[in-house]
Amino acid sequence: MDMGLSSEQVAIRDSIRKFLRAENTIAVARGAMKSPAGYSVDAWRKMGDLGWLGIGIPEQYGGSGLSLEELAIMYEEFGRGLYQGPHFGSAFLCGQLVLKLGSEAQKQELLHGVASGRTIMSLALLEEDARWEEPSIKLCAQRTSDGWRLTGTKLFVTHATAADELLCAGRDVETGGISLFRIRNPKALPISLMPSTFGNLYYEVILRDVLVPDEDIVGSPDNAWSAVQPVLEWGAALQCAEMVGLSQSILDMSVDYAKVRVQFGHPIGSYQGIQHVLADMWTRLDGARLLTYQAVSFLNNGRPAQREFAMAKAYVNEGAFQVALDGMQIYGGLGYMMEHPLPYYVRRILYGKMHLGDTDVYLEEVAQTLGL
Amino acid sequence: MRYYLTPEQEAFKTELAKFFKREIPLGYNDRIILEVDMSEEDFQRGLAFDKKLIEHGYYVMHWPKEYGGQSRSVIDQAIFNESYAYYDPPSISDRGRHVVGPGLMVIGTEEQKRRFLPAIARLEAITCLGWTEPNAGSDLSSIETKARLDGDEYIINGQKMFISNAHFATHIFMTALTDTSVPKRQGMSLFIVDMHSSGISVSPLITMDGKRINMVYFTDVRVPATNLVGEKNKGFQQLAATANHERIGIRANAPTAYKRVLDEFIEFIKNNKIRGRDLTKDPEVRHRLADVAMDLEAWRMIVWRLVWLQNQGQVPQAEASMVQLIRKKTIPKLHKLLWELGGPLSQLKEGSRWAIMNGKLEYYSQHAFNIHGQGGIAQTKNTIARRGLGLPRYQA
Repeated sequence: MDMGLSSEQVAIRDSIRKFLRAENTIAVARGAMKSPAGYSVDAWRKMGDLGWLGIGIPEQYGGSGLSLEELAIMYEEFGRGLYQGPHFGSAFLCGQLVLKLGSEAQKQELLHGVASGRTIMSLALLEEDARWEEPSIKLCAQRTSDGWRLTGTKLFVTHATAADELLCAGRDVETGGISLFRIRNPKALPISLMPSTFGNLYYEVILRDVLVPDEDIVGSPDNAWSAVQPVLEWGAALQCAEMVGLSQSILDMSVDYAKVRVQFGHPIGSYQGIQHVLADMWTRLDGARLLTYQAVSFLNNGRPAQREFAMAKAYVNEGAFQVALDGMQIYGGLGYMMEHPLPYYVRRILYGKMHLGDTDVYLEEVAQTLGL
Repeated sequence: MRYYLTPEQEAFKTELAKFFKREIPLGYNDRIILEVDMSEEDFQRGLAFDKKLIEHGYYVMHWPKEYGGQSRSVIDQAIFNESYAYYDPPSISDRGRHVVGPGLMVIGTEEQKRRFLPAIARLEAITCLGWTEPNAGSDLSSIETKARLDGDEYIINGQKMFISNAHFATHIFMTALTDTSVPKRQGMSLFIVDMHSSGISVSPLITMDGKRINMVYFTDVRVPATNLVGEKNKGFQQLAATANHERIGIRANAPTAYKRVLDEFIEFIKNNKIRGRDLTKDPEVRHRLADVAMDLEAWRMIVWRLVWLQNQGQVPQAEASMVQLIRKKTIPKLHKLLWELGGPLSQLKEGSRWAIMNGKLEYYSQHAFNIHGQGGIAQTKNTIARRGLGLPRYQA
């Protein structure tokens, strides 16, 4: 049992933290609500130059190597520093899928770009069911003489207008199998914003008789889901790490505020009623962090981790949500104002909680691992 | 980062599982033995199993070699505690190996160490803790028991309350005021006292879950001055260090004890309907059981974090209190769920042919409220907030 970080991991954590602190991510988050890209293009470039976007992608494909552990450490800092950008959809989801399924030529062609941030990819997975489950993939993939014809509607495609390429999941109408297709020029497709809490994040992409040549299938036809599932599991662990970072920031700012906010003649942090809320927040947060890194450590070492990551996502979902509520209690009305940073952290927790499956999905998985 | 055991540690865990499965008397875990009706036979069975731990070298394996232990790491000790709690063998739950012994090692005289440590390690001395009193619960400094020096003896008068094991202990490790002219925190000392001394009387207090604890009365009890442990009048400060051992030793093992309760219940509903229904098919039941399993796992990880810090020589305070906080929330949640699922049948004890799991659910309905040890929930949160988060005390 070793719950510590290596000195290299500490260095990565500290440099990302320092960078994001200097970036004024709150201002960026406010601006991103209205900017067309939906994120800070400037910060994205800088992070690409620093090599962080390529964590998790092997060095031979332009990444910095490293493992799920370093990715999780980075995502915890993304949460703590409120960083938002296309990394998850691009370098992580698409990058890992290309890495697992792609041909050598596809890896060479795509991974250097996503690792540096110069290429942005996005995963077109969800449809009208809005479930991260195999049966909910319905987009029709019809074989033609020299390729495939795709027809269907993809929802919640992140940063689609910024994407240079999409990876699109479709179902072979004859065999019923799931394949992943490269869509090389998504900007030519009808893309419309799905207005949401998060500004310019989610898009609806309509594919109508889109032709894809055989060589643009990533992996063998009909066989993609077995790779999608484990990448989504890793992704869920990263979402946990991000929510842990968000919760840590909410706790930190709440503690600082409680020490200086004076009401009824005393700092509110000297009242036991407030101290007890903060003690609960911290305990929940630490439970969430420990379950998250347990899952990360298991997944990263190829140990069976069904129970560990399902518990992590369900526990972190609920823990982070409660920390968000408690933070709101400490701040009073101030924390509900969009002038304040707190709503941005809270909203990001709402996103993470929903993303890749909410608590009910993972509780059912936990139940199965209990033998139920 | 490695959130799992090394192959050697896994092997130790396997060895322990084999040991407990082999040695625990058949059928012992099928029923709840309440201490209130604990017979001499039950006591002897507990003592016999503890002696088996001694024989196999497990009992004080965390003690330094010079005192009869094996200097095993805190990690190994935690692995032992997890297995021990999960398999739940008979035991008299002596406080010596986790509290009194380690306390004496730090503050005892050479003579005290020589006299008591081997005896505790072989269970020839059975010790109980005399810290709490009617007016000294969470605030262990507000005791009223006094020890007055008379020649080479102290004369102790007062009473101790909520004392586990006092009815069979050979010694009590207790606090008393040795200087009443100063604030209590500056006038308290620790003593180890023979329970057979004249002037000690013990009377039972029975808990909701059927456990016997005790009142212990001291009337002009004469104690050799050499039984004062540690520095005179520094007892409160030394107690704080010893109490840390109590939290680690006794409670670190707890989450797996409750995981066993959950596992047994799940096994039961897989094989039996309750009130005409197969609960394993009910989505709400599945989610609630999963939810509490998750809390148990978070508790277990918070214990392991404490163990990991201690293994590096740290003495974490807030992190130790977090273990208490999550324990106090999770036990009632688990037990409430189980007895709700049993419905009216959860009220039935062993003896009714309609009782579920030999009346274990009835026991859980009472044990759920056993959440006060090692400080109340409010005090626990105060410690986390003040020592961990640096929040100020209220200044009127």
